[in-house]
Amino acid sequence: MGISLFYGNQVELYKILSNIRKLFGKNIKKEDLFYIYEQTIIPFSFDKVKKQINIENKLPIKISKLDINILNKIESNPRFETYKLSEELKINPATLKKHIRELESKKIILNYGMIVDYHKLGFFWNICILNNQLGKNIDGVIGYLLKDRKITFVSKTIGDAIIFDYITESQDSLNEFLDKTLDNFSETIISYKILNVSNVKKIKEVY
Amino acid sequence: MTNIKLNKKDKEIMSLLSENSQINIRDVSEKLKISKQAIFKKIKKIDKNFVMKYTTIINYFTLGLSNVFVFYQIQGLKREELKH
Repeated sequence: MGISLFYGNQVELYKILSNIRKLFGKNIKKEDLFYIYEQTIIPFSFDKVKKQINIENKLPIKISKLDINILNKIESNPRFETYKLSEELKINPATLKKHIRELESKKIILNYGMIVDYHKLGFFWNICILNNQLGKNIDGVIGYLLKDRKITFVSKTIGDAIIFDYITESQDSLNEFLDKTLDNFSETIISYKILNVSNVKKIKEVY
Repeated sequence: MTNIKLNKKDKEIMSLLSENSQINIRDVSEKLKISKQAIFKKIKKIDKNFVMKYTTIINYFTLGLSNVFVFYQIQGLKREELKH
């Protein structure tokens, strides 16, 4: 099982982790934490990869309560209607548009996309973790992964591991891809792990 | 896997939506040379069958948040029990 957690500080993180441990108790045999340092998202495409969205590790930007409310509303509804949303937020549509433009220009809002149900398309969805030699430059590996259109995100972690997904019609092609990647970067990659995604559940995202 | 098939135009629309879910129907209609009504119908089909969720990508770092991936090796539980 894999969980992506967003947290404000270490105390908050440990509280969440401790609740998960209580929930699963002795059933948890091992817990591995990967702190994300940077992430690139590549929108899924049947054609060729056209766009890359970089979630850069930046210092926090102070934003208003209204901006936070806007983000909470649009996070899972990027196809909102300005008129309806402005009514919900009790502001006028022009103010809403202005705030959204500002959030975009400050690069707080990076893109409006969607998560595809890959299983319904007949694809397998895998999460892969590459453990790398500490201190080795991993940018070459990341650049290599970003060229593959079967990948929709690549995350760089503190500790130089790389997490990415791989969407494929057969598990054999994932194994072939990993073998090739390991051959190309044999001096950098130490080991890898694969997690087959069978179900995705989003619990909560409130800023 | 669903039995609903996607044709070339459906796939093009799906790729466009994935890249920008705020796409303008009129622009897509002009680009793909099909009517706005047909685009609406196709988007409805895609929404119903192939979209897990629409999402706004936010740079959580700018909001003072961090992200951690936690991988658990779990024994003694069925797949269904993990879903909850």
